[in-house]
Amino acid sequence: MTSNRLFAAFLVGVALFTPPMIAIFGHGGSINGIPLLFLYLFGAWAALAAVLAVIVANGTR
Amino acid sequence: MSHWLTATVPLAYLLLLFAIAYWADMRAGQGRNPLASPYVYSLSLAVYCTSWTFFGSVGQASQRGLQFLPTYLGPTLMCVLWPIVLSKLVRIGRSQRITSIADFISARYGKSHSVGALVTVIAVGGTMPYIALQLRAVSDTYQILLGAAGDHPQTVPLPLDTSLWVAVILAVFSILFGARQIDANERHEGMVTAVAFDAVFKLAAFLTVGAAITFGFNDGFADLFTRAAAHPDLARIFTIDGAGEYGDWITLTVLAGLAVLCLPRQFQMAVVENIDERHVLKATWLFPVYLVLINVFVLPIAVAGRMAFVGADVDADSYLLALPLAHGSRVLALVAFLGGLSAATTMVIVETIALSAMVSNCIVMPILLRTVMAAYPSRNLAGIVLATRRLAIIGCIFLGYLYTRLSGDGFTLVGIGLVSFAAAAQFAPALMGGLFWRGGNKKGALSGLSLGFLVWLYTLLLPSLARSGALPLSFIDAGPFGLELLKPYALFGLTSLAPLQHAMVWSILANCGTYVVVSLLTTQDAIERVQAALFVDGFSTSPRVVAQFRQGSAAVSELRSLARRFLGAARANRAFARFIASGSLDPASDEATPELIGFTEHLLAGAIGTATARVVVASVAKGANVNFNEVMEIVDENSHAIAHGQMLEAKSRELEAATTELRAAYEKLTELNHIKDEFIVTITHELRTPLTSIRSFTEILFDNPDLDISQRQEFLSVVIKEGERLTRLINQVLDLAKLEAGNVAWEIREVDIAQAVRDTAQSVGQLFRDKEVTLAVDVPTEPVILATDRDRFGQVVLNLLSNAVKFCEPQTGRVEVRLAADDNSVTVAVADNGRGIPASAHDLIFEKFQQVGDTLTSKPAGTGLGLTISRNIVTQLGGRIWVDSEPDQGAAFSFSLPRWRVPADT
Repeated sequence: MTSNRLFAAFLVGVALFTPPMIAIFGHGGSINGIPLLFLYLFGAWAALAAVLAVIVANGTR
Repeated sequence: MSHWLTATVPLAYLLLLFAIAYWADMRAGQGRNPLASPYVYSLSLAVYCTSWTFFGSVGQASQRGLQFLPTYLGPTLMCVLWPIVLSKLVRIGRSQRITSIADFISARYGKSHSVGALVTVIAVGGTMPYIALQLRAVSDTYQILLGAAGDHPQTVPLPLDTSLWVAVILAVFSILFGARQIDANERHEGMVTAVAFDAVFKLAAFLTVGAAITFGFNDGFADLFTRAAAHPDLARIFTIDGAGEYGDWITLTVLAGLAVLCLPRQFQMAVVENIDERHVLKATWLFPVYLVLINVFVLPIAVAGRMAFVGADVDADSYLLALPLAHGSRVLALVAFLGGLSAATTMVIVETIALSAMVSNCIVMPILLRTVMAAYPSRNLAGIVLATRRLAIIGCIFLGYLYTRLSGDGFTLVGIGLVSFAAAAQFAPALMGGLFWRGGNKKGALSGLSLGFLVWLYTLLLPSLARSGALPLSFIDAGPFGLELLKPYALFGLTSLAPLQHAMVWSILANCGTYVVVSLLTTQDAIERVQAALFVDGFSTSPRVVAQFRQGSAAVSELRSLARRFLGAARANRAFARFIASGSLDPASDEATPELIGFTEHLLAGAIGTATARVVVASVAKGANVNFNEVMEIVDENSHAIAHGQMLEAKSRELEAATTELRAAYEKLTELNHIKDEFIVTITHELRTPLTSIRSFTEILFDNPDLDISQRQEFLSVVIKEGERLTRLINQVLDLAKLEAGNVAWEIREVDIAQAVRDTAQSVGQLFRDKEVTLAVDVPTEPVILATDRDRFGQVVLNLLSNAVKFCEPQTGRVEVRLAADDNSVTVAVADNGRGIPASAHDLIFEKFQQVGDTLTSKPAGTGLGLTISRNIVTQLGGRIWVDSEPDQGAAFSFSLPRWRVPADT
């Protein structure tokens, strides 16, 4: 069960950090002066880490 | 700040690191292992972040913006799979006593010396640029801290070259950390603890300096980014656009993802130094969090550096230091330097310790076995093992130094580091294939690894040396000997890719392709098959399990002296004492059990590698040349036993389920049998009552022929009535039997049931009139069409009506029949104002021969089968029947039938 969730998270991660998604946020533009790509990458990255923490915690309980 | 401080503080920091390691080693010796914490394990993995992260990332970000991130996103993605992949590596590593990645791969492919040696050569060659990167980063930043301009290493005379002194210091510390003594289990608690400390320190240093640059020297993220966006040539570093950028992005992500598993030092930390498989789970999310944190300030620092040093000749790789210096803060600069130094030092220490174990176990030991050991069989080898390791550490660091001298500073830090990543990635096919594909064999691994390594050498390492002038530049521009097709950056005319992508495409293609094809075309020998099964299926193999693969005999004393030669007397004696204490050896006998032979091999594997340990032990254990056919039989038997076990388990589960079903069926049968008996008893009783009265009346008539006509008539009418009752009863029993057996021919037609109810009410009209009970029929005047069996429907209504009239008082009695219909169902209700039915009997009255009231005292008013038959009919027509009643309030029997649906049982 945990393996399946991890594998799904891996696929989501690959989708988040490869060109189709990178290209959407990579054209430039900014929110409150912070570049969009910078915001997106760090946000998605932290979110993935959080999801991992949840999956692992649920798996060992 | 004086130069004196600048020189002593770094040295003091390195001594502090060593003190921490020493303290941790002592604690571990006392049984309080600092590695027991999953946080120490997770932090120790941060050895991934070297001075590349500290200085190189900033340099790369200042040129290419967020392209520095794939180096950390790749490992994050790999982290997601860690609980699957890394856990398996750790489990196998533990059971096989793996000491390095070379050991792991060699063990997987039949404990092969040649595979181990090849992996070692690739690892040493591939790591050379990486160590060079650390040396250069430390010496460059130290120069900047001193205020001297970084000189070209090739122009500086040797004794004045900072890199040389950095190399010497790092070599000394590496030996102190990893090769003070020979370790039986190849674990370095002190080193790991120091690395964990370094992880915290470098993160804190980077965040401090980063925050100072971002918020102290500038006005935060938004300010920096907004001003940078105004620069035309800076604005583009916030974007990633175009196929070339995407290609780089993907290549870097894949490369870094593989590197975090395949780099010798990462393997050392993640697999060899792991003491608890569960720690992997914690690291799975903690490591990504660490990576996020250490990268937050990279882009702001890069942007700040670009804007602060417009036109100035400042190396972008040193912004982290140059920015504080430019703002006059030598303390911050020192903190930045210390962070970088710490990161570089731990990287070099862990990397060289891992490499030295490989060199010693996979190259030097096998050679020693054939030479020294063959010539002087009784010589103690523990000293030689230790010396080998120290020399290997020194050798690796000085190879790195050599590369620094040769490659010059024409490259960025990241450029150098990626060359190493590409070499480490060559291990991935043999490692992952070996873990998940049984068919991968030694010949495949050997050919795949060597071809991949050669391509890497040719397309990345040699050109990097050519570009710095160590080789003629024509090698790149015109190809070797002027052969255009062999140009290292455009092999076979592939010109459209950047050098790194180009090298990756060719090397991984060659590596994977050869590995798979050769593995498929050649066969495995027996020990390869054994090892493949152990690795892929992840059997846990304790020495006792391995022992069944062994048949030789050996003397305990011989094994003990063998262990002493490699581990030293004290360690060997301790280990043997533990084994004897576990009770699996008779201390009086000198004949070693197979378990002890396995144990010795296992013990030695920690010090000299699995492949060498196997040969060494085999040299002592006479006849230990295992009969591999038998081994294969054992392995096959094991797998068969497991398969059979699983089958048996499945079968027994099925059996259990079947038993439960059978038991339920049996219980039902017993109950039915009981009901049948009861039915027969009841029915005989019911039949006897009318029969008795018929018999007694006919007997009276027979015995008294002179009875007067009126009395005779009266008796005869009783006989007729009882006869009718008997007939009715028998008819109903037969009817019920037919219904229950299910062989009733239903005639389902669309009928107007409103008319049917009216007809039935009319047919029983005489009954009501006889008893002077009012019958009210409340039925819609328009037809209500339902597909049903008209006769059976009528029979139910008739039963309910005749029941109702029976329980009504004469004169005051009133019975009402209602018909209600909606789209889904029709409901017929027959309500009376009789004496009602107590709630406890609501279900009972539908059972056979169950009548309300005391059957002993009052004469039964019916056969007791009417309601049972009605329920049977209604149920088989797909509906249900029920009663609403309270005592003395009358009773309302209702049944409903679904509309527009032909009942299943026709």
